[in-house]
Amino acid sequence: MTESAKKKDAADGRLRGAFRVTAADVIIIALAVIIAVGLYAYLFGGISVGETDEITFVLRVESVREEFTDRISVGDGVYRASDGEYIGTVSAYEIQNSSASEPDKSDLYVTITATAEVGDDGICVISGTKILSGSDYRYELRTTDFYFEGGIVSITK
Amino acid sequence: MAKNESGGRRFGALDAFVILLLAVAVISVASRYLLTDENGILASSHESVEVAVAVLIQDLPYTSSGVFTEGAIYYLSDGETQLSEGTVISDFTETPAEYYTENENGEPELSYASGDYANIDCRGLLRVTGYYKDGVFMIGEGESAAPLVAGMYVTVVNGTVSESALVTDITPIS
Repeated sequence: MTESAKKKDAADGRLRGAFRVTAADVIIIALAVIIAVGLYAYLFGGISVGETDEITFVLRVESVREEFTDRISVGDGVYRASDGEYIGTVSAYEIQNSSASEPDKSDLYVTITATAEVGDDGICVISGTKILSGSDYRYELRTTDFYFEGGIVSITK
Repeated sequence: MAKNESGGRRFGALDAFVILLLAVAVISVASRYLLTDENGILASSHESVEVAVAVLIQDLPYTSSGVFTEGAIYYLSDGETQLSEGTVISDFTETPAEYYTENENGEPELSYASGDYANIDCRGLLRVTGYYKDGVFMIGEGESAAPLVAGMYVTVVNGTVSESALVTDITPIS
């Protein structure tokens, strides 16, 4: 083999070697991709891409028996009754004489402060639940000590 | 990666170390998701506890009088799934059923049923076995486990009687 041919082979070899990939390289690259994706999901997963805002809404619980009126306290965590998803915190409550046809019971007005995602339509959503006032919407919520159900009478952003 | 005599690359100790390191990282992340609960602690079995659940069963027909007696076996249901079984702690107290009437001014007024065949309200304590999770008492197991807190209604079944009962209080039995 001539010197030029040897030099050409050497150059080709370096070129081929530059692009030679072994099984170990494949494994390392694959693991690196998996870890990168996993770490990204671990660090940034669950963060809402929507705008969030602190809101306060008042839930009216009607016809509450007297034995339950002291079961709510400021600072209590409020959870969705169906699945225990956290909704917010009781920031105030008020007991009023019931306006319903049960005079020995009271209406409970529970003020809840929460962080909600605010959509482009202005509707606030907490843990997948739309927060809307009106008689058509009933919310079943609970603290660790008391289950209550009612409709929202006011929402403040 | 070291080169062998023919110029190709040889899988060396350093490569093995790097792969091992990456594998440990992957296993760590996987374990974090698979073995921990929402509180970040290793998932563990729940400690079973017994509580006394105070219930109010309203407007029972008089024929159900005496059904909930001490030691009677009952079970709790959400209407579809049996959640818990236990015994009545003590005889239920029975009172005339509450109802509302209107007085001469048309205002609602609390009244009580009367007569031999009047409906009754029952109050009593049920022994319930469950566990506490995040400060909430839970009954049932697995996916059917549900929280039990005051203010909730549960179905109490005792023999041939199945009634909706209002939970008024829950107290751990020491």
